[in-house]
Amino acid sequence: MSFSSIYAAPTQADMDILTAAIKAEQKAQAAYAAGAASGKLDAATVALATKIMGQHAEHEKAEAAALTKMGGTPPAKPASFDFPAFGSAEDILKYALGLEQDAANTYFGAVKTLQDNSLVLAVISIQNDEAQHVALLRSALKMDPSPVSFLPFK
Amino acid sequence: MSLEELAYKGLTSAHSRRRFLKKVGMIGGGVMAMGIVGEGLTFGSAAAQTAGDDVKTLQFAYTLENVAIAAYKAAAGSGLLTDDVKAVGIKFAGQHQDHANALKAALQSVKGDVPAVPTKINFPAFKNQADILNFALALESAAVGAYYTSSGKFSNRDLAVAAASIVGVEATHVAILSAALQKDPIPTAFVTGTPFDQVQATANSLLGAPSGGQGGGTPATTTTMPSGAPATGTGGSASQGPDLTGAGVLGLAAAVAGAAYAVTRRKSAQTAEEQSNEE
Repeated sequence: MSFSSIYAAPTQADMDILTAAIKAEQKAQAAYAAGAASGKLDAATVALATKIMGQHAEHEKAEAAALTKMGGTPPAKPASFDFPAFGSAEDILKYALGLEQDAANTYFGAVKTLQDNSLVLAVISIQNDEAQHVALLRSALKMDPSPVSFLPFK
Repeated sequence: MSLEELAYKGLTSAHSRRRFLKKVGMIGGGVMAMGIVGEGLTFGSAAAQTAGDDVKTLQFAYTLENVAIAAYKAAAGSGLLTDDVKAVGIKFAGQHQDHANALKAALQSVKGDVPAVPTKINFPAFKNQADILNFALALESAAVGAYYTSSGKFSNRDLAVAAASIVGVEATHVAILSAALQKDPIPTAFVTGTPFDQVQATANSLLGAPSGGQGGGTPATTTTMPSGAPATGTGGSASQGPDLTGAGVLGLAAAVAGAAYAVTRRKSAQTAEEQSNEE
């Protein structure tokens, strides 16, 4: 995805939203990497985690490009993250689910405040992807994969 | 005439537009109506010159939701679905009904006409469960495309928020149906749904496209992607990672088991909610 609009008057608020989003995407990638390397996930779930991780990387890349275009500086990826100790595959999936629900809800919340219309659309397209991640993780956890009729996730 | 034009019929007159604009200032009812899509929704100052288009878009969405409800109901009554898949369909139909109710309430709150629920829909002939699931997948993808596109067209940001709250749920339907069909449930990192021109073509084929211009002065409505839309019509995602089609955790069993669980849980949750409401 490219953010094709011309940022005639980028606002600091929009840039702050992008910066926060990039940090969340970095954390999600690290969480899936840790989960995939934990040895606690079966092969199919590792494949799922790896695929989802790649999509978060795509989100980060697009957001960093947009932020740069607006004159901002994308935040550097932290050297490490404080993840909880994962005792089981279920622990990992539940932790990932929490991140994904937060991400979907955060992007949804940004729709209300973003000034740049092309950012609104881009954010919705990412929100939708996170919502799909939520559905798949919930399905893997034998939970209702589509628990609400309207975002945000509860 | 396109479905969208049909849906818009009668709402482009100066009278109805003026009537709508008059109501924009007193949209408290709309806030309540759309309140179920998110707390604290308020209708700000809509761009006056395009507010009438907001009504049209709501009407189109309302019609699409009703098509989806009818499709899932027809599927449930087809005798072609396993019990588990039928349960998923009924659950999705319920969520589309929630969307339709919200859209209807929003339209009523701004005194916009609520389109008739379509009664004659040209569903394709379904021979088996896969036919139905594929059709449902196409319909849900079209809904995602419609809401995604409309979210960039609304003059009122609160309507864009409402569209976003609905489209995220339609996106989960797409993923679940894809998984049930052993297709990659997350083929792209940026989910924009079916391009809007195809959405219209799908809608037209389902609802018929009368040749006579019965709109009586209805201007030719052309629907294009919003100018600010990212160029994602073809997916927009260069690298897509491994194809997860058929991955065990995403297979039919898991998706359906989860959804069937969902339906059961939803019932018990509703019961609990009813009980707490009675207190």
